[in-house]
Amino acid sequence: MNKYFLLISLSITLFACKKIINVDLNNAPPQLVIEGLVNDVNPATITISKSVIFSSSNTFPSVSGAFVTIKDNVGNTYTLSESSSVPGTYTTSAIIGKSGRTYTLNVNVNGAIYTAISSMPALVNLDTILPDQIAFGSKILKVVTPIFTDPPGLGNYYQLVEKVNSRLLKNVNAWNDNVNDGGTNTRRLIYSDDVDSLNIKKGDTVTVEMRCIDKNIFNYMYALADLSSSQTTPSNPVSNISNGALGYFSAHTSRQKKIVMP
Amino acid sequence: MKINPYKKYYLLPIMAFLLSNYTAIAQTKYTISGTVKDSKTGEVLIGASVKTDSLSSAGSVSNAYGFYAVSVARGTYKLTVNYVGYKLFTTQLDIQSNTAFDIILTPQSVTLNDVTVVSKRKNDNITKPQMGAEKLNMTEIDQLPVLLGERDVLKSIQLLPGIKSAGEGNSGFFVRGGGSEQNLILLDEAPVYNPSHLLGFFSTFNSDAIKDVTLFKGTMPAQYGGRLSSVEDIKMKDGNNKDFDVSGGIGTISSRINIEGPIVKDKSSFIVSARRTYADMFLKLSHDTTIKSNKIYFYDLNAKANYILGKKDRLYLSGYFGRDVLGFGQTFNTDWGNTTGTLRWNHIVNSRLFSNTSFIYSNFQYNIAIKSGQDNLYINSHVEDLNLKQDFDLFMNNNSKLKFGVNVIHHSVAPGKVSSDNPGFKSNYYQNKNSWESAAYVSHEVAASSKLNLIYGLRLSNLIVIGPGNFYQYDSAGNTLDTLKYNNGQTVASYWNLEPRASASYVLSKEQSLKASYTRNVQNLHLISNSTSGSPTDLWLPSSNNIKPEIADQLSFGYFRNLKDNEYEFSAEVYYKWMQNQIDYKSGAQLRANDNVESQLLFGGTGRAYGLELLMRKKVGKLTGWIGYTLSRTEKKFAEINNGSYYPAKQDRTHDISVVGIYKLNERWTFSGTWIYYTGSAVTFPSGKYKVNNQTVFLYTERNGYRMPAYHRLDIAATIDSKKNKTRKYQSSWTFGLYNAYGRENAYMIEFKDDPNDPTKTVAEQTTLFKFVPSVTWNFKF
Repeated sequence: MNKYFLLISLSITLFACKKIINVDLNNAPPQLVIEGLVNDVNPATITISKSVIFSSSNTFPSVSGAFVTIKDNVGNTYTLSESSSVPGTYTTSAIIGKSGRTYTLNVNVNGAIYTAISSMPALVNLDTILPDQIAFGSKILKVVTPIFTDPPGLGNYYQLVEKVNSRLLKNVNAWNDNVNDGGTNTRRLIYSDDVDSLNIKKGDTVTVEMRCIDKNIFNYMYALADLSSSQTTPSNPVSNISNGALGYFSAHTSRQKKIVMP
Repeated sequence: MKINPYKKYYLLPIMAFLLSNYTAIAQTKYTISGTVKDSKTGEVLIGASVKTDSLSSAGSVSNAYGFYAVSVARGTYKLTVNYVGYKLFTTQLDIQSNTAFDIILTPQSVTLNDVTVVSKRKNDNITKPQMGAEKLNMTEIDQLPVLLGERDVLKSIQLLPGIKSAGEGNSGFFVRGGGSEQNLILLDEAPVYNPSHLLGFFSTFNSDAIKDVTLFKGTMPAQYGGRLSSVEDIKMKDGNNKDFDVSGGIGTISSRINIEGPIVKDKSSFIVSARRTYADMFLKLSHDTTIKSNKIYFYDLNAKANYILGKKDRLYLSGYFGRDVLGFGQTFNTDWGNTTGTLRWNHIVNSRLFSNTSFIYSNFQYNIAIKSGQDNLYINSHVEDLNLKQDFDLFMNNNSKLKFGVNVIHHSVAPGKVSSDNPGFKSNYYQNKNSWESAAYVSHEVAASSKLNLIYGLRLSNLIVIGPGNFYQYDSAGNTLDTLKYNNGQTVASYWNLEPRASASYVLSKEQSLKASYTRNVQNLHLISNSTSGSPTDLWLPSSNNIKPEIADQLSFGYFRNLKDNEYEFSAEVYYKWMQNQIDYKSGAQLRANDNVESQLLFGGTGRAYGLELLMRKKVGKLTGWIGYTLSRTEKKFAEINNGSYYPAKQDRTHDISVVGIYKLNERWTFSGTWIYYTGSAVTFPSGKYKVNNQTVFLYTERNGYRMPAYHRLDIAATIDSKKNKTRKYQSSWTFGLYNAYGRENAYMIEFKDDPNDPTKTVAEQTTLFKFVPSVTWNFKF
């Protein structure tokens, strides 16, 4: 909603102009970034990389040689091995997650230990996705609405990941059931054609992955979405990983639907 | 509901002092009292200085309803009344008993000859004990250049030292390090919850309807309370009770009309002022149907009527209604606005005791409709006050004036309801919050000696949060530990606070004085907003079991000096302010559609603000205006932010300069210009970046560790009045303005993002809003 207001306040001023400027920024020392995914369909994947300074190019050094394990709450421990083709990516086909289980990640990078816990929520099925459109002034944006029914009772959290053809959209969609608890979803996946430099067209294949995530991951994703709105004083989203690592470790269900835009 | 027993003892010395003064008037003295009015319109005049040539007389100043009282022994006296913009009034009175005497002042027509006649300027600014107060002159405001020619009291206020603009073209402002939500903005005593239109670019106050604006920079006397950093007391005109007047204007973005006149001549009058912007009318010209259906406008309406019931009683009824409407076709439609109403009864109990009873209503609400598929999603929310206030002014003797009163407010906050046409959608109601805020105060203004003047007082305030509803207890991570259920009317929490206020002036000579003041202010309604610019959907919440009342203590000192027979006024003030129980937000706080919004807040913050304010002002002559400079610092501290160390608040700006000049060339031409400069606000910029979710995320290391670029801007305006013709009433004027005259590209926003032309890089992009904005306004009166 804030995006609407920002858009309006900028459109009020027909005089507004933009330009690229130089800002003298501090250079933070490289920090460890862990992104860990356990879901109920595909093998678990952990990606370890490092942060860079603002003026560097967007290539983030991967961290190789880490010792990575995932333990569940029924007594299984799995060791993940680094992919030979993609350095810094650790996988194992031994874990396919299960709803209701709690997973503990343990990462050892040169003796420094990072841990995180995440519980996989109960599955909520993604029934279908429907095409829709919204008009922004003279602009018409083609969008999709994921259709699913939230189970009654607060405490369901969703993350929706949208791809157009094979391109991942940048918008982070983290939803809870504070609005429309127990109802059928009517919220659309709004993206920024400006940020993504993309407009969904007739004939495009839109893929939506719906994840049921735990509360910590919802908070993380919500904070991440907030950062890109540039309306708040920014701060780093609170990670569920210990020892000051950036990123997150999420155990979630995953259901995917595809549609060819009419 | 316990009062600290020690607190009662504060009251004792004050009571003793009050009584000692009261006994001093036991000798046979008589009171001259009445109302000060304008001869042409019958408007009561606030702050006129009334003096007699009696030896013991220090004189009196008319109150907010124009009432004055002076006491003298039996005898014949010369009564002198002085008020800026009006001819000096003198008369001879023979006093044998208490005398009712209304004073009619004639306005000084603003011509050059008259200006030179006003040679004797008063030195009220030297002698008055009140510190940190500014009275704005509406004629001055009318002549200053502003964005798109929309005259605006809240933007003009920002040109004074210690008051900082919340941003480009914004009517929001920060006073002595406080946030914009810490300003109490009163329109005829009714608090206005959202004082801006179009997301801050214009204030809700139509200057046609306004008579008087007084601003206290946190140093308010005890009759005001409820906000930490300032009070803007805005009073609407009463309306001409002698003649009908129609005035108005057609401007670049809006048109105004103002009608006033007698209902019963000399007895009752009304005023109605209306304004509407019409930028959206241009959208209608478009061939594109979607553009045609876009809406963007605001309107507001001020109305007031008063009736003189008799020699002792007068009734006032005033109201405000304003709405902003924005919409993108059927996709997104929203409207929001304030409604206020004030019913007042002035009663002169006796020649020395004046009473005012007010019943006040205030409401702010917003409605949003979002089209989703075939259905609409609706969001509504409001905050509503019912307020009863009783104030007394007791003119004890010429050296001593007492104000006391009580006030009780019922606040009800409805954070929102979300509903839809879609049958599959489950509507949500977020829990309403109810509370009672009450206060009792006493304030005494006294001339302790010929050199020492004092205003001191005490305000006892209370907030009771009441059920029905669920109230939660949280752990530090924001998880609910316990849910407490309360029934209708049950007390959830109660907070008592004593707020001492004192301000004193010590007159060194006719031309210079020293002043000092100490005030404690308490705020029990908190604006929950983590957006940097503010939005109509920001939420007001009362103190609760989790949110403690915010407290500020301010100490200030000043040196005041007039030069060249009071033609120039100079002042230097320093202040130090401590703030407790401040509120901030957790990273990614979820503030909307959340019954657990209090779990998203950080509590127990402290703040400190200190600074120096210099002002040199010239109030008479062909050239008038001022130069103001503020050197200041504002910092906050939260255990959870910046490793628990102090960091600069967003309103922290080291230097702030404003130069204001109005030059009256001749009877027809007036030129004005303002130049402002300030250090860029403290902001958080990234110090690195990383990749998550397959996209670039920025890394932040310190809160508000960077600065926006310095801001500066020159605005100019020229006004030409129609030729004066005494035989006809019709007058008109043209005003031409240019905002940001040298086209400085000030940064409104700096955004960090992937380079759209090269995704392997990141860039910083600056948005500038206004560069060379011309305006033209035509005003008329007949």
